[in-house]
Amino acid sequence: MKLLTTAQNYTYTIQAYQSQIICYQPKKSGKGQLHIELEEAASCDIQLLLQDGNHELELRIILKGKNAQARIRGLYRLDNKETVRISTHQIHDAAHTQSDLLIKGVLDGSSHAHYHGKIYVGSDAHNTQANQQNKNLLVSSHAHAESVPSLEVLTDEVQCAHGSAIGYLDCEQLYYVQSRGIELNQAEQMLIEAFCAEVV
Amino acid sequence: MKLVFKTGKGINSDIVRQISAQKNEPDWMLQFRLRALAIFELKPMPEWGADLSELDPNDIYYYLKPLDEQHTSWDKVPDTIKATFDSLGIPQAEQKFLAGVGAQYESEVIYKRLKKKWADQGVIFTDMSTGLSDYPELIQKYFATIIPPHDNKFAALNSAVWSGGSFVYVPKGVHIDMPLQAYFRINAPSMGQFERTLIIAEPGSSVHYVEGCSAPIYRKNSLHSAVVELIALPGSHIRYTTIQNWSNNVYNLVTKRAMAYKNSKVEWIDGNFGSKKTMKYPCVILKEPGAQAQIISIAVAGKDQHQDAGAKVIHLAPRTKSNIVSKSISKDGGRSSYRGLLKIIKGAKESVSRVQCDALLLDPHSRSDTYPTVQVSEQQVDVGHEASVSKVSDEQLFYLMSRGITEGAARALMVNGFIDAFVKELPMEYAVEINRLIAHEMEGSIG
Repeated sequence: MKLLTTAQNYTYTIQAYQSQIICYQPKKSGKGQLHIELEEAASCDIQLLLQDGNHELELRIILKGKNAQARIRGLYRLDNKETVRISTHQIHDAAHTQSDLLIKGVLDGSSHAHYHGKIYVGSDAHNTQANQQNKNLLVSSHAHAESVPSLEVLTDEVQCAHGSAIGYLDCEQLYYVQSRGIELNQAEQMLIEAFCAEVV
Repeated sequence: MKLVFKTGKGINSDIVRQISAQKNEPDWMLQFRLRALAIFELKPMPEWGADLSELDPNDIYYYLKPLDEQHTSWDKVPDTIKATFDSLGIPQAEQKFLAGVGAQYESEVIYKRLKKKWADQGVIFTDMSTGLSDYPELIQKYFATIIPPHDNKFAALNSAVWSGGSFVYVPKGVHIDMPLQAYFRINAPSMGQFERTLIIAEPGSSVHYVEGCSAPIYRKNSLHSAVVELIALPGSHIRYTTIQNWSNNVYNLVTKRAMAYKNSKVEWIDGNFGSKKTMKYPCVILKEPGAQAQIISIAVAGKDQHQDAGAKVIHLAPRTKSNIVSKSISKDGGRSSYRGLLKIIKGAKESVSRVQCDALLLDPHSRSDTYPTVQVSEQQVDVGHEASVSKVSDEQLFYLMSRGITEGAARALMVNGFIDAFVKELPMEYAVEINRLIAHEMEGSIG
């Protein structure tokens, strides 16, 4: 496992039939780049955690070899005037490759989040499965979220999906927790933790 | 047929003056056209979306008097288009009309009867030039208020050289029970090159406007650039249905936008077949509380075609709702793209929006793209976007074929199922034609 705690540029190639876990969680604000190439049947698990500061991240995953797999789970938690800019590229250049990305964000204060995602499926990458999801929870009324997922698919034997959601905590869930005698504040915290639990 | 009036190729202020003089327009409209021309010349060609580098605005006739559009003879209409007419089951007289070589006289009688019925209710349904001369105060109040000439290069071009298009005015509380169809207006060409349409629905009224048809529209002119403005005043309901099947030499660059006031509802039902390049993003601005928008579109891109279509919704007020469903089909190396914008400003509390884009790829050479943008600055909202890209499933195909259905028919059946969300919103006769059109297109692609 590789633990990356400073924001800078990283490049990795995962060799054929190897697997790797990469955790990117910078301790300070900054701009970073993660460039990962996967050879045949290589697999990679990427975990992102962005909080306490302003972060900019470009994540580029290139599935070069057949049967390569990448799984990305990310979370950003922002408060005050913090901003996060994330752009991700899931580039499928070979057949039978899979990528699955889920990035969630909790926005408090007057924070801003910008997510730009791209799935690209080349003309040789048949039998590709690609998924991309970005979900934002706006906890404060001054927070702002922007989500721009995109898909470019050049062949037909594929299953691709992307989705984005921006919203507030579910009122019914809040009500349920409160009806069990828990204060609103605490109920909100519980639901926020539950929202994050899926990716951390 | 006698050639009545035609401007030279290209565009300049003399041509704009000629068009305006030919139509006996008031001076304010001439000044508006000239201002728009200046804007058109200043704006660069858009560099995003479909590739327009082959389009030369100086190689186009900008105005042909209506009669002139029918000078082509039936013999000159390409055989492929005639074949499509046959498989759609369209009668000969109607075929000639659709190919731009004759007028559809049979409908004249029906139209006159309907026109009287509508006129008794105070409804105005006429072409834009007649609207300008008969109802100048209405036009002056609303014209170009939703899409000003500086909106984009092609809106500016349309503002400078527009001719044709519909003007619809529905008085307070009037519900028009049958769809207004553009081709009823046979006194002017229903589908010109630079048509300009304006629909005003007064409070509490409702109207359904339909333009186009599923049969291919053969035009020698290669640029079609329309502007459509809808104004839905409080509590009104406007539904605007378009089905267009341009011949594949046409650049179809259209600006469509609606302003929705309190508790009103605007629906765009938009079908894009054919054309060489299409750039079309119907938009609804939800300006006041309780307004609703629905945009349902389908794009089919075949060989050498790029359909760059989508939808835009801007939530400016609380409790506004929007729903976007976009289906696209790419085949024979065609490319279809969904490009959308969903924006919720701060203060538009309790707004709800759903966006769903589905793409179907029919062969390995075709391409599908999805470029949605979601911007939210308000906390109490519920926004969701979903997109998927897939092919016709082999298992489903196998199942249908095992029941004795041929491969072509099975594919057509599945494609029809895929676009069902769109087809079920259409008036019945159009729905039947679309199903036949899909079957026809599928036959071609299986070969």
